[in-house]
Amino acid sequence: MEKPTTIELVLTAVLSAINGAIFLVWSNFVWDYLKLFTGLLFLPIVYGVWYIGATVPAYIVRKPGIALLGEFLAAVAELAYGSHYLTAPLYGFMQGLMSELVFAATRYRRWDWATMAAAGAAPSIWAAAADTLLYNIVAPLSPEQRIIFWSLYFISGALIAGVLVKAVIDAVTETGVLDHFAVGREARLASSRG
Amino acid sequence: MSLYYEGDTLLHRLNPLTKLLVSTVAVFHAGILGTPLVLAAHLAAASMLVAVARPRLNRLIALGAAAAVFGQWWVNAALYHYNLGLDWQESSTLALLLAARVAVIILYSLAFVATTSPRDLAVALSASLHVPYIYSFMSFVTLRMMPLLARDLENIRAARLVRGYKPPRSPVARLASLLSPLLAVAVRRSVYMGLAMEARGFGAYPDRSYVDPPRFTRLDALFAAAAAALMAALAVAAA
Amino acid sequence: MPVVEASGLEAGYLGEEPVFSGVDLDVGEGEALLLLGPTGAGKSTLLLGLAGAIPRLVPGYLRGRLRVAGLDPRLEGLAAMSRHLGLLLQDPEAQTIMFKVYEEVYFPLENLRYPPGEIPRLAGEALRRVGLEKLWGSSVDTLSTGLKQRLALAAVLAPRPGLLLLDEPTAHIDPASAAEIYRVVAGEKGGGASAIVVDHRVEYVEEYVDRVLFMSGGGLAEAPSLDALAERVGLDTLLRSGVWVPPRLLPPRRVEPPPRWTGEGDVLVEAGSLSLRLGGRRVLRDVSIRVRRGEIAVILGPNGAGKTSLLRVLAGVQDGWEGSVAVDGGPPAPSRAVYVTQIPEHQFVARTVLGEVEATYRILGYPPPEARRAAEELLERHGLGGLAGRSLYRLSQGQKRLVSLAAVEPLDRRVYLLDEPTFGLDMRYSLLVAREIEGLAARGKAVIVVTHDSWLPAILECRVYGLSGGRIVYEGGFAELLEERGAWPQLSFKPPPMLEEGGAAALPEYRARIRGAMP
Repeated sequence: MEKPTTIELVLTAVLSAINGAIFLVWSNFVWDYLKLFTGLLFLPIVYGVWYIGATVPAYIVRKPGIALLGEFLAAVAELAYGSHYLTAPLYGFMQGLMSELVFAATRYRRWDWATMAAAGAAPSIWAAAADTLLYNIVAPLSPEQRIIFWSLYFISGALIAGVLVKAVIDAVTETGVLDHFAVGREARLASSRG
Repeated sequence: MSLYYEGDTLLHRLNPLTKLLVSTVAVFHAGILGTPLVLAAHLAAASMLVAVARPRLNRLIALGAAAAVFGQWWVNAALYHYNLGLDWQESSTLALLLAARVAVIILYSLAFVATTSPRDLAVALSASLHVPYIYSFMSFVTLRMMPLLARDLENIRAARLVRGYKPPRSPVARLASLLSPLLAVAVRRSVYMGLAMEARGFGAYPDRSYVDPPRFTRLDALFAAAAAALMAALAVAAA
Repeated sequence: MPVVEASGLEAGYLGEEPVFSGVDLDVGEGEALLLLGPTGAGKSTLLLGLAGAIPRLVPGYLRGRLRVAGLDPRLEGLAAMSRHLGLLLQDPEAQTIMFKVYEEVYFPLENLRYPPGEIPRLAGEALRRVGLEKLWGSSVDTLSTGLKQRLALAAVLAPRPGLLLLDEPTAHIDPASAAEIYRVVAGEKGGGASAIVVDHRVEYVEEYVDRVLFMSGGGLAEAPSLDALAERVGLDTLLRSGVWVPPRLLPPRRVEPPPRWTGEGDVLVEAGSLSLRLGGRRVLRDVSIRVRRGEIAVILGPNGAGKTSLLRVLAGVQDGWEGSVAVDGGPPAPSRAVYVTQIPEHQFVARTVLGEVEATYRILGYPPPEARRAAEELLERHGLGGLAGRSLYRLSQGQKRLVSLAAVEPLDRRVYLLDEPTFGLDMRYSLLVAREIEGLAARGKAVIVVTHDSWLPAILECRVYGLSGGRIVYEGGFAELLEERGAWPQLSFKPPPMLEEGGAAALPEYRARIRGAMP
């Protein structure tokens, strides 16, 4: 398995700067205000956005360590931009680790919809548990509601950080912007074969 | 970090790793125990640390934090009442406990971020914990790139505004249309920066020298011991 | 011992044809070489190969016999080679990693495991060599791009490498800083270091080099000087390769004067006492300019002077200004002017060249088939028809710039605001852009160009505004500016060498020669 090059690490760090900004908007605005409209129960439907720090760079570079580094750095960026939540880097590390484990299980060779959905959903294992433990976020919900609530973490992760991320990056790859990286190389190989 | 400022408060003089460890343990301590006594103690401790840290807050951040806490209280109170059928008195009290957790986290967050330079943290992670520096130093890249990318995004927005461009309807196409130019510039900078970093010996050896790394002093030991003692006492009291 | 020994070098990128082959190169101690050639000839590839970036950092292949400082860079890799060589690239923003000036110079020394006790001293020496020692504790983001590049050079020089590789180090910086960079390089050469320089702006560097190499069509031609090279490969070859051939080598040709606008000269852009505050800082103070139909106004000035902010106000994308501003008969608004950004990619909205032009027609309401036809015609008119199906992001810098100018033409607005339109371009594309600018003025547009390239206002019929510290410190013709040397420092202005020596009197000849080279 190849190790990431310095350029690939730097790209991950740069993408994390972008993702961190998105996280900040999501944390400080969307999460708090959406609560007023959807109520608590369906709120986690937007949670998946917080995992893209892992799936975006990993899908582009396709090498070990990138999902973990990316999610962690994006959380650091979020904190640096002015987020209220000190726990962000810890969440980033653990969430990144969950995604990383999924990619490691496929030996960094499978990058299809199923893998991405799984890698997008995996960080919820940490997020749902930590939110419950640290913030006691499910306190005002009944047991049945809690099941729905926790499930949404996973569904949102799979859809947003998995499926949507893959769709968008595939579209960007067609422009040639990502030619230097694994996702671009594999796309060109696929099109020259087909 | 936007909130970080160079200063000489007690917290500034602590090693970043000490602060990281203590605040993480404190947050988990507050979360797991969660009783009113514990939360009140943490609120007091965190507030004291914030007072020591003397962060420079702008109105937007202060307002956002206050809104987050207040929102937690209000929304959860409503949920307890309408969802679980509790009366307003009880709902309000229980929701207050939840809001207190958020407040504790926000306060510790503030005290930490205002007094810890991200550079010192990255260096401490590598110099003391032996995290491979090629990873921890990527945090510098992220922080360095943030303002540049913000400028890029602003230029992209301005160019589109002037042209009268309306993005495509489908969310995927819309995102791709916005991301392509941003990523094009990001990729070019990444390639150059990666080359520049290696051209400055980045990654030549597994470890590196540090001219002035953060050190552990007696202050760190005292601070950690005091925090441990307080949390142990609270744990006993809560039992 | 020769610093570089190479024979039969061949290199290329993954799965592609070689970029160059059969290259032999020997560089001795204290020797400086200038490497010229068209885009895509492989100059950067050669430098990166010598530095050890290929194949370990940049996927590709590099075959043949190669020794740099006695080592094989392919085996060592760029990071290990950094002890022996220094690599300076074109974008200063992408080369500065730390936040404080001294940290930037500590960085390579720490990476290379120099003893911590010695690092501050070595860092101080490196900063002294580039003249930045007074900025030791400054924040990197307060530096202009020219100073950032000098800082990057200091970082690269800190370990005292024996070989310097410079890849277009002056592409993004003002001429005064460019001259400084090469003065420092010459100093290093005097100290025994060797250098290989790739740079289009040969006038700054030719006096310091011992040999000139021309890379094209896969091979390498050599000559002891630029003049000799011009004789060997022919002036036309050099011009076509985009090299900034110094005017003394260009024949003064009788060229027709550029077309001019002969219609009404009404004022299309007028700003009076314009002031702007951004983030608490006064970015523009009491700025007044006036541009009529058919006129070109060039705004010169150092980085951070407020030039881009001025354009943004006129483009209607910047609020918070005070004073009076009228653009094409009304207050500034996004729909009134055409604003072309410094980085062409920022304005791209499509995937292909054709799609990019088509998008503008679609915005104007043309139905898809007509939009496509109109776009095809426009590209043909601009000589870009061959690029129609190409992917935007795979074009060369010059091609991207021409496409960005063509793509906004259908908007048919009367005011054009161009931010550094010749940024990072070689001579050929730069002159094409200059001609485009003249064409716009000839069609009755009011064109405002922000640039730090001093040759551009030299060859255009234009009015020059000098902006420094947010204020207009000069207003007049270019010839007059050449005679007012006192105004130069605050504008970071440095005219091309021929004009610096000859003053306004040399201007007609300069113009004749450069314009004669216009493709």
